[in-house]
Amino acid sequence: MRVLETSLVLLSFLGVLQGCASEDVDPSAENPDGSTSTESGSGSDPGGSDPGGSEPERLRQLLVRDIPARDVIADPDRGVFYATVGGDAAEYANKLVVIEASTAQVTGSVYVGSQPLTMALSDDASTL
Amino acid sequence: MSLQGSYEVRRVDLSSGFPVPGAHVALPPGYYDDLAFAGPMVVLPGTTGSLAVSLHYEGLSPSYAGTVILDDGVLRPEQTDGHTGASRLTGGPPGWMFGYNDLHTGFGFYALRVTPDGVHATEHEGLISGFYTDIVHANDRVYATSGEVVDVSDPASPSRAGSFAFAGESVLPLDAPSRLLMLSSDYSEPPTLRLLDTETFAQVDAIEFDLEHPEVSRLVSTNGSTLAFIARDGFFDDPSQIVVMPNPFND
Repeated sequence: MRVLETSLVLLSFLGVLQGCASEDVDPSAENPDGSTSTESGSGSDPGGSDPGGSEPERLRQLLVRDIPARDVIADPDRGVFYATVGGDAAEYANKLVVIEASTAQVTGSVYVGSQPLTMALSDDASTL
Repeated sequence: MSLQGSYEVRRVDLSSGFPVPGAHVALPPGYYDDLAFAGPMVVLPGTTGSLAVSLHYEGLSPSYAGTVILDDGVLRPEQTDGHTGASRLTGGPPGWMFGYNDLHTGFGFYALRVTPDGVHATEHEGLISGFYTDIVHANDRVYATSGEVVDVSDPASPSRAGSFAFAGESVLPLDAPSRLLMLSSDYSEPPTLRLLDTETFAQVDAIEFDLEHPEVSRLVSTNGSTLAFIARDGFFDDPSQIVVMPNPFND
């Protein structure tokens, strides 16, 4: 049986972080009062502001992200994972977090309401 | 998505490429007329607004409060009883879903017929067993995390198809023919991802993880090449992590 070692994980994780200075970008953030705001410029650069302008390293090894997820679901059409985070979390509280599958980077998050939990995706992938 | 804190579900529009939260829908009361939150859910095939919901109560055991169908928030009149029933829910062919009672020793498997007036459950015993067992439908079968496999090619008459020699916290049928991933955690062993053959029920390959948080759950995949799952310590209130990795069996 093969074993994936954490040391390899951390090295790879650091490599990805170098290309991801800002992970919590809200291209279409909804505030707790229900309003929606868009951060000008940030939505087009979901990988964060990389001073070198290089592409983030692609996922080659197991990566661990400190996202206190209650549930996670895959969106194969868009190549992303969605995770729900509870209201007591220090980060991403009551948000839906979007994670790019190919890089394991958080590409955005949006407030969705009180204690988001389970999810289901429509078969045309248009609705969560 | 379920909003446990407000006993609602909320539609999230993905068509723009980024999730845009939409309408909130208050859930109907559960079987005992008390507030209930949405546990497992299934969007009915071919729809974006018809949702099957396994309702659950806070702080009550067993927590199961019935299964309902909502069409853009409007409740279909026929719903199942609570207490004993489809506390776990998975999809099926058009007009059908499947459920499992993982909360007490009835351990019933449920064929759930979806009709314009709601949902109708028929219990089948002796197909799946175990507490906290989850189920996933794929290719005329329902795979259970307990290792049991149910043939649902005739949804009204489910039958035992076989069983793996392993159990886990999450199962993920793959598009690759006759392949399924099972993610297992055992406090005495490192978390293990197994590649299993769904025809022979044999293990094809396996890999162990050296993880800080060894309790794993909710294995998902975008396309079979990239996997994600949740890892936590298993202690109350400990924050969880998300692990993302290439499918190690695609080498």
